[in-house]
Amino acid sequence: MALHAARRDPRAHWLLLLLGLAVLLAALSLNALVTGVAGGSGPSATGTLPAPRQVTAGGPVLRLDQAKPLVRSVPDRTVALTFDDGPDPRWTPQVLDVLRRHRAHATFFLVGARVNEHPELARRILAEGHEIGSHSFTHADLSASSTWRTDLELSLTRKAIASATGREVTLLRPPFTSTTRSLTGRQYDVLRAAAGSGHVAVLADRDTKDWQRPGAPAIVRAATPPSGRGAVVLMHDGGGDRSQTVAALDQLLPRLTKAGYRFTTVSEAVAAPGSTVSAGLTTTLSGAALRWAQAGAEWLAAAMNALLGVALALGLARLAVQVACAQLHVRRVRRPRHHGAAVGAPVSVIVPAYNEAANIAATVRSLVASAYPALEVIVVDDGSSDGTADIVARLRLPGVRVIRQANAGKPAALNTGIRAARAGLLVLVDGDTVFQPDTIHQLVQGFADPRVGAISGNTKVANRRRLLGRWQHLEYVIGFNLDRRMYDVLRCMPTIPGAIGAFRRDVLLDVGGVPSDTLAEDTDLTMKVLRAGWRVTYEERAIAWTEAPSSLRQLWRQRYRWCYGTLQAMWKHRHSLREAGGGGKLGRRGLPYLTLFQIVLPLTAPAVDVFALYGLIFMPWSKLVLAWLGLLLLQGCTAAYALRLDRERFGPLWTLPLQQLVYRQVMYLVVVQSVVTAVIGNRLRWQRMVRTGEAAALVRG
Amino acid sequence: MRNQPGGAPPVFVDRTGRRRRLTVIAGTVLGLGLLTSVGLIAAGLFSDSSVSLPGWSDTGRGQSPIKADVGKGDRLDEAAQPPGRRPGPSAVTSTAAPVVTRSSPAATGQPSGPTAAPTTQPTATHRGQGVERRNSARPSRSPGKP
Repeated sequence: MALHAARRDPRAHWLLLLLGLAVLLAALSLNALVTGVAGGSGPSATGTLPAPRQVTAGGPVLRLDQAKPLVRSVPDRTVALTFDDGPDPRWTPQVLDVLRRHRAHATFFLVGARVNEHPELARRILAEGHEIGSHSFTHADLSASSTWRTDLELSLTRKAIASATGREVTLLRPPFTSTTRSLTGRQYDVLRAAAGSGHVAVLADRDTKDWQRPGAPAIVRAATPPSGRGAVVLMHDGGGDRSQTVAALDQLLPRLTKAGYRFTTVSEAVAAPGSTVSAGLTTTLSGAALRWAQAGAEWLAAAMNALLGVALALGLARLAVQVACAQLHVRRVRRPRHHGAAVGAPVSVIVPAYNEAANIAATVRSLVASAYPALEVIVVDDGSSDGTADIVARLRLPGVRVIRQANAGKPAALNTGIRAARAGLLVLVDGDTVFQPDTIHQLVQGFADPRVGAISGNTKVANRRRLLGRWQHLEYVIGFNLDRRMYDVLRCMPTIPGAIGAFRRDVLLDVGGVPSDTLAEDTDLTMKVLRAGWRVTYEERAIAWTEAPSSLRQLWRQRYRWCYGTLQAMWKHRHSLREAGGGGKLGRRGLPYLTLFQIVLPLTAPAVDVFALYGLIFMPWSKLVLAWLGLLLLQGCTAAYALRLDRERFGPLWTLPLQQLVYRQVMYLVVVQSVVTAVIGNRLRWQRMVRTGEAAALVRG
Repeated sequence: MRNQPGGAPPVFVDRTGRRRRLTVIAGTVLGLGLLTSVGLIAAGLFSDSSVSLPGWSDTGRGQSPIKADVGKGDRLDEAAQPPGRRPGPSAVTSTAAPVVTRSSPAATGQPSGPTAAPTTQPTATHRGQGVERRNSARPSRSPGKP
């Protein structure tokens, strides 16, 4: 109504939001990859063809970067101990200690992601004269991975180790390989491909299977080569409890040393030069970036989990309070009223109208048709250009007055009406709202209690034929009405909707009329009434049919105004937090509730949606479907309960799952927009809804 | 009654534009931070890290090139391989014959690269040599691991 000069709405924050969500999705995906949520830890498929015979029957060190494979073995009386799956903060140091005690050297095949978590262990391994190699980044089964995944696994590991140690590795032992004899054709293909990026494959002669924890003696037996031969021995220093491995080493090392064995790195055993090369600057920097990204991703994923947990707990707590309060409210209001006579004091109905030609006749007719003894209707035309005032005047209905004023905004129109009203009880009605015959009677009965200063009615969506209408209908019944019952019980009603509310005239004069410095004058006014010490209650039987926005654009505008206006009103009344009496109840119950559930949680909702998207990509479907069904069931039960309380049909419930896709996003994005507008201090225009007259059609039909 | 238009100033509205400027600065910083993290992830994930293999030394201990283009699937018949070529400790001293891995470039800083290696004997002599056979005595093992 009131037209403010406004700068255009901010837009750059959408780019920021999108960027932030993209980073979040990337970080979650990275974390999933690193922690193995995304698969890659399963054993390789069995039943594939074996690798070429000359490889499976040959030595364990394979150089495959040329047409002819070069194969090397470990000479007699030499053992190259190899440890997979590390570094592990608990077991790797113990393994290193044992090796140092027996002056033995070994080779460690490191998992890149774990190197990023414990780079100091990788440095210690190198510093103590051992050799390091790659065991993929996430312990993935490379033979079951796509080519790009395999390349990524190898290059990430190389970078991680380069950033930790300054050396780039060239030795590779793919996870889930053991001896050359058991090498499959697929695994061999992986080795050949890896040779292209500079990897020498190291398999094993003797697989101790220490990961099965067969006991230290069994590990020692499995590690001991027969009759003085040399061997590459496969053991593990990570991925689980490795105490048996450490114990076995303590026995194996002295025993074989006594038998004339020496323990060397793989390269030394096969008389190759040191396998690592000095890392280039690019690789080192890239590795550092990777480590930071991995650490950040881990932190973000943990924060996301915490957020989801908190949101779920808050949601459940809110539901419990809502249901408890609703039960209490219903029990209270549905008792038969037998104290004193019914309230029948004169009522002035004030209808502020700006270009309401579509609905105004129906609105006024429905008001005049009220079964209430003493009623006057005041239509305040706020400078309409569509002849709203003339329509009302032509109706020539008894007890209806039309006041015309130059366009000054809805609060001003309301105040004009309040000044003109003769009755002691005032009912404020939007120009697009249609009452039932008993609405006014039901609405004002609460004034029998002298402590009650204002009463909220029950708004219902008239146009609920289409999906958007059904969604809003559900929201009005579930969100608004359930909340209002709770507010009533907790005495912290923040909003009497502009569509239907009753006030004592004295109360309105006491609080200085309808304020105009916020866009949600109804919320602002209600908060003022509460802070003036009056009670504000909710009357479920006073039903007003209102026309809900019928397009997403209209809905966006309406909610933008509501949300921004509510933010304004909350900020304006923030000092109620420290007040005594009614204001304190608003400040300590209503405002925190609104802050949490209308602002903070909606602001985190985009991240939750990104998490859902991430779940869709990475999580097992069974788990996802279960979680989704659980949430839906909870929502459905709440909705069914609210519908039953409002005596509504359960029919529109089927649209509830669909709300998750468009409606939910509109509802939270509008909060983002409102908060940004509030922060930068833009003026927000009053944006009018285009009326179609559907509420009017409801009473005509 | 107050609150005619122009009465109370609207809540939140900042006529000076100072908050807007501050927000733009904060938003720009945040955006740059986000772009940096995107760059960080991209740099961490997608940059080439190929390494040239350091050459294998020429002592030839326990090594044997295999004549096979394995990529095309022609596999050596085991029966055709000369048996008993497994090098023992004595073999290490006797077979000082180097095998030059000709196509592998030497890594920088690796003095024992193939180009620097003394080619005292032609590599062709090793062509067709059998693979080590000592694996044959061992029982087969399944590769399954957690």
